[in-house]
Amino acid sequence: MKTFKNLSALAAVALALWGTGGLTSCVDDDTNYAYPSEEELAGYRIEIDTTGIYLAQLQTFSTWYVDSIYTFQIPGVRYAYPEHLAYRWLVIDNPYTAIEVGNTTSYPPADTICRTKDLYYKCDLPAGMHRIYFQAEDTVYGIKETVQINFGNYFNVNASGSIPNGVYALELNQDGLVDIDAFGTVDALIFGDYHERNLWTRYNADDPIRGEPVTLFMSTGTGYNPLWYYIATTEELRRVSPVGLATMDKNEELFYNVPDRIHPEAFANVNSADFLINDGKFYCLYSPNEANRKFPVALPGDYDLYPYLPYGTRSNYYGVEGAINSFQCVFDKKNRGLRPYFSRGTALSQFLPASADSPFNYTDIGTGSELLYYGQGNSGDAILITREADGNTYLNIVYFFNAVDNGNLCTQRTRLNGMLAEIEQAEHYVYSIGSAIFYTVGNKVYSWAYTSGRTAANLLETFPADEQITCISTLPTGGWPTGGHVVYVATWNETTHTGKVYHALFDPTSGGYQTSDFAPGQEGMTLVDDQFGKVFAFEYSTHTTLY
Amino acid sequence: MKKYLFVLLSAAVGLASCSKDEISGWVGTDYVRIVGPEVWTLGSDSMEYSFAAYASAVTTFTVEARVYVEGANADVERTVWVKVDDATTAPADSYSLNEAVTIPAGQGYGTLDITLHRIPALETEKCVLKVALDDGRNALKGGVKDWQTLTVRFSDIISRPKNWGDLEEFFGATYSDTKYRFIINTLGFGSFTYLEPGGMSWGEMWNYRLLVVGALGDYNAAHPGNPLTDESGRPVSFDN
Repeated sequence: MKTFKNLSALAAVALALWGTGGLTSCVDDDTNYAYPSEEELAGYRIEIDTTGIYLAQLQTFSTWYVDSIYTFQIPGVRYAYPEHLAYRWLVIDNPYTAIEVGNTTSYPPADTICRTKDLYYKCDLPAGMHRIYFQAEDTVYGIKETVQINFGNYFNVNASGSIPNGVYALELNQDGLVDIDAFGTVDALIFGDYHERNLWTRYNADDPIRGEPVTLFMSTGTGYNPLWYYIATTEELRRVSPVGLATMDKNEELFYNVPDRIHPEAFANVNSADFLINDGKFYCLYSPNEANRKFPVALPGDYDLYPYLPYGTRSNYYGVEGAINSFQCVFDKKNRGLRPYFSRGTALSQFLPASADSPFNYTDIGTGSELLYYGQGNSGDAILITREADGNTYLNIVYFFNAVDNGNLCTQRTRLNGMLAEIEQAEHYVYSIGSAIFYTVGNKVYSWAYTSGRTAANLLETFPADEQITCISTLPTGGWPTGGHVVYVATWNETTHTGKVYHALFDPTSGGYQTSDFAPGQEGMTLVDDQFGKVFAFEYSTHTTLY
Repeated sequence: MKKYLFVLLSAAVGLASCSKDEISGWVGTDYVRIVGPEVWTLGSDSMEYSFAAYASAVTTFTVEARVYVEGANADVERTVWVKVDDATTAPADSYSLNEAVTIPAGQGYGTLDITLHRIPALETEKCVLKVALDDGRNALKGGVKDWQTLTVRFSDIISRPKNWGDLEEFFGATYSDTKYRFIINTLGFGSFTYLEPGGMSWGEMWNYRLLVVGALGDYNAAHPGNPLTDESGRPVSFDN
C-alpha cells in the first residue's frame, strides 16, 4: 500500500506540472522577435578565422599520445549572432570508411572530444590515424561551419607509453641518474613544442642505468620507423623499445660473444645494418629485426677505430660505375687512415694508397699526427680535422661517397690554426647538411663553412661563463623545410647544477644564424628550457637522411 | 527391515575395506645389471662416442654408467666386479675404469665411471670397449642377459658433415679435415644446425664465420711463413 501511495503522489506531481505547462502554453507571446527571412538566412555565414595560425602551431596536430593533454586556440569566429554559437571539436578515423551494421552500411558518427572554442583535451582516442575538425554551429538557425585543423591530412595517435617524437637528450638528471628528456621546438617544425622530463626514470624507476652517458642512438632496422634505441654509457649498453623505453637487451645480451669490455662509442644504421664501434672495434649486425638482434663478434684484425660511423658511403641512385660502394668507412687510429668496410666482409679493407700529389694522405696521416674530428660534410664529403706532426691543424675533405678509388679522394685541405679562433682547443664538433661545421670551446659556439671562402669562424654565441657546453647537435634533414637547419646546444652549470638546452636556426651553407617564417620571431640562440640535466648526447626520432 | 539390513551390510564392507594387506617384499635371489647413460645408449646396451666433434682441449670423456641391483636394497655395502671383455679392441691406454663397483648400503645401484682417453690412435681407428660383469668374482650374478655388458664404440675420426653444402657460405666451399678440426677447435663444437627447423640463424652462423676467420688470422700471424695447411698441403681458407 505504501508503494501505491508513493505512486499516487508522483502522479499528482506529474499532473500538476502538466497542468501548469498546459496553462502557460496558452499565454500569447507578445515579444517582438526579428526572425530573419530565408533570403536573409542564406546570406548569413559563420567565418572561422584561422589567420595567424602558423604551420608551427599546427604541429600540435602532428602526433598525439594517449593520456597526454592537448590545447589549441582558434583565433576567432565571426558571425552575426555570436550568442547563438556552439562549438565542437570532432574527430573521425582516417581513412574514414563506411561500416556495415546488420543490413545497412553507414559512416560512423564523429567523436566529439571538446565543446569549447579553445581545445582542451586529454587524449583517450584509440591508437591509429585520425582527422580533426573544428565546428561552429548556430544553434538557433542551424547554420554550421566546419574546418579541418590539420598539420597533415591526418594525425597519429600513439598508445600511452610511446615516447613522443622529438629530440632526445641523454643526460645525468638532477639526481645524478642516467635519464632521457624529450622535447620539441617550433623551429624543428615536425616535433611540436614541448619538454617531457625524465622519461627513463619515469618508465624504469627500478632499473637505473649505470655509468656516465656516452650516446643515444635510434635504429630503424631495415625500415623507416624507430625499431629500437641504443643507450650507451661508460658501463652499459642497452637496446630499448620505443614503447615505454622497455629494455629489450642489456650488455652481454646484445652479443653472441661478449666483448672483453662493454664500451660503446658510436652507432650507425645504414645500408640495412646496425653498425657499432665498441672499445675501438667494429661490429656489424646485418638486417636487424626483432628476431635477429645479436651483434656478431667484432671484425677480426689489428685496428682501433675513431668513434664515428658515417652515413654517406654509397649511393643507391645514379651510382658512378666502379664507385667504392663500401658499407662503411672508418678511421683506424692504429693504422692512421681511413678504411672501407664492404658488405659481408670479414676484415676492414684498404683504399688504394693516397697518391703522391694528394693534398692529404687519408690512408696514412703519418706518425705524430692525430685525428681530432671525423664527420659528415656537404653532399657526401667526409670531414677530417687533423692535428699533424708539423704542429698545424688542418681541415681535410675526403670524398669516398659514390666515387672511384683512384688514390685522389681528398678534395680540399685547409690549414685552420691562425684562421679559426680557438680551433685547437675545440671540445665538441658537429657537422651539418651543408658545409657548415660547429665547434665549441668552453661556453662559446663557433661556426664556419668550408665552402664559404671565409677565413674566420663566426662566434655564434657566448653563454654565461658558468655555463659550459656539454653537447652540440644538428637536426637531421628529412625533407621538411627546416630539416638540417637547427642546431641544439646543451650547457651545464656545475655550481647550480642547472642544465639548459638552446636552439637556433642556421644556414648550413654559411653557418650563420637564419630566420624562418615557420618560426616567427625566433632569431639567434634561444633557450628551450632550463630544466634539463647534464646532457651528453642528442638524438632524433626521425631517420637521419642525408642523401 | 531390508533397509536396515542394507545399511549393516554396507557398514561391514566399509570396515572390511580398511584392513591392511601387507605388501610382499622381494624374496628371491638378487641379481645385477649394467646400464649405460640413457642419453647416449638410448635404452640399449651400447653407445657411440666421437671426440672429433669436440675441441682438441677435450682429452677425456666419462661414460657415467651404473650397476643396478635387481632385488632388494641391502643394509650393507656390496661390491660388484666388472671386467674388460675379450671382445674389446680399444688400446689399453684409451680407457680406464675401476673394476670394483660399490653399491652403498640402502641403495639400489653403484656408479661405474668409464673414462675414455683421446689418444692419437683414435684419429684413424674406431675402437670398441666392452665392459662386462665379472661373474667369476661376484656374489651378485648377472640377471637379464642383455644387460650384463656395456659396449662403447669410440673414435676421433673426423669426417665431412652431411650438411657441409649448407655451410659453404660461412666456411668456404672447400672441405678438409684440417679445416673442420680447426673450426671445431675454435668454436668448441662441430655440429651446425643452420637451415634445419629451429636451427642456427644466419646471424649466428655469420658470427661463427668471423670467429674462425679471426682465429685463422691469429694462427697464421703466430706462425709466420708457415700458415695453416690442410692434409693436401693447401693453405686453409674460409673464403669461397
